[in-house]
Amino acid sequence: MSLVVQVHFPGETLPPLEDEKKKATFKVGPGLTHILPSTLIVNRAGELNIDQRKHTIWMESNGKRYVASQNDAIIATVLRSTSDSYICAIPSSNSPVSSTSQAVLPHLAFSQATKKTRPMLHQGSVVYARISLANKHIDPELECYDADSGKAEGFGELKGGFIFGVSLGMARRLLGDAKKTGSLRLRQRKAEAERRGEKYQDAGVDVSSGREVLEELGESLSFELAVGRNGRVWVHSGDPKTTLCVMRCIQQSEFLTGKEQRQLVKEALKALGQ
Amino acid sequence: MSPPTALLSPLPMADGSAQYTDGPTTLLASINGPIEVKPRDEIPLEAYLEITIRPSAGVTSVREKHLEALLRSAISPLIMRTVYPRTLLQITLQIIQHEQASAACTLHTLLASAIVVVVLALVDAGVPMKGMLAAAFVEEADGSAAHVFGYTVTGGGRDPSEGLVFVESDGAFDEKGFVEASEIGRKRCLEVGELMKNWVREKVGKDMRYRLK
Repeated sequence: MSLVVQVHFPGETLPPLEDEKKKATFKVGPGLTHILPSTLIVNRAGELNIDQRKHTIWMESNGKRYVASQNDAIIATVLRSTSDSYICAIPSSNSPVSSTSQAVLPHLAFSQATKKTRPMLHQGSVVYARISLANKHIDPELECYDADSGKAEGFGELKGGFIFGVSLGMARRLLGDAKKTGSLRLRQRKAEAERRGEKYQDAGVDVSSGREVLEELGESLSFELAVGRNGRVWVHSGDPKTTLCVMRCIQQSEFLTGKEQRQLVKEALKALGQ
Repeated sequence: MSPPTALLSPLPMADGSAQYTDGPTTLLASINGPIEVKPRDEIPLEAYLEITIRPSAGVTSVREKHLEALLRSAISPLIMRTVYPRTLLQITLQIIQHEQASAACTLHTLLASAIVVVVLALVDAGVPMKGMLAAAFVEEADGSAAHVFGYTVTGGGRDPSEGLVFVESDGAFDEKGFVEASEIGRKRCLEVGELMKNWVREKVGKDMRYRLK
């Protein structure tokens, strides 16, 4: 059982996109430079992902420094309040709050907030927010409600709990991205095998979602969890022991396979006395 | 001489880092960025590049400052600095071990390794780049001159021989000697380039290990 990842390096020019339906426009994601009319050049080492259904193309690679991008759900810290907005810091996986990029969270960007009733956030409060505006020339803007329904949908202040950092790749895995891209790759490999006229053989790759640790923890412990795409994880449970156990398991499962993650959790639970 | 070895992401708190050992030289590079920049250094449409070299013993001297300038000229054209305007990209290079073979060439052997380790750390940090650069140190047979050649291993022209983007020479040499040296340098750069690609593959493989059952 071995893992084959085809790595592309910065500066490589990609072959022209094979388009099933023609005419469709592809969305170019992170890690790629688009040079008109249709040349794509890799600018970050990693694995190339192409989704033919959604017409998207991007580079998948792990990292530690978060750069704001629109519609990402993130965990931010309030620094101070001005007359009409909160100034927040967006921390990355490993960075202290002080060295990070700042964002603006308007007082009225909460579900059902009016000028008279708005959530009072103080310095050091933690919010789960969505990036509503991201542009490299200006500070990002945040919102604490769902764009479609206008309701809170889990966004807002995170009260109590404990925060720790994981790598950006791990954060995306915890949010379920790996499951989607995994099934994408599985489909591609099956199509390739069919094209060659062979029967597809399951090599045991891409069957794990990379978040077995959460599935396993959730079965035996009760806790609340919020994962931000900026590599921050918030855990809240009644018992500090449980919180720390969840943190340790998540941090240690970064480089583990699905089976190893389950094993790790089992041992941790045993040590916890559950 | 044993082939060079490298380790990517040895530092958990840095955004990207690499350690590189080539013979008697061991260097450790770390990258932080894009982060907030001091107003004095802010560039409106580009990221500011801060390069710091720390010696293995003692305090920073003219030698390190000179090396910083040389390293900057090799590295800064590789980085797409317009992607993160008004930010700071911090590159710190710590010399862990370096044997002084001869005083004249010390800087050049160090420069070749420094370029390799910084490029590896930049790739590890995921900084947007136009290509990857490999560098090699070549000394002429009689020891009269020393060169450092930098060839792009990815992102250069279609033919690898087109990729000479960096030269730093010292001593007395003629055209013939230089051409011969550049040929040796190209071969070494391509070898180092392959090794660099393998180290990156290894690191990405480790990051994607969760996909196994």
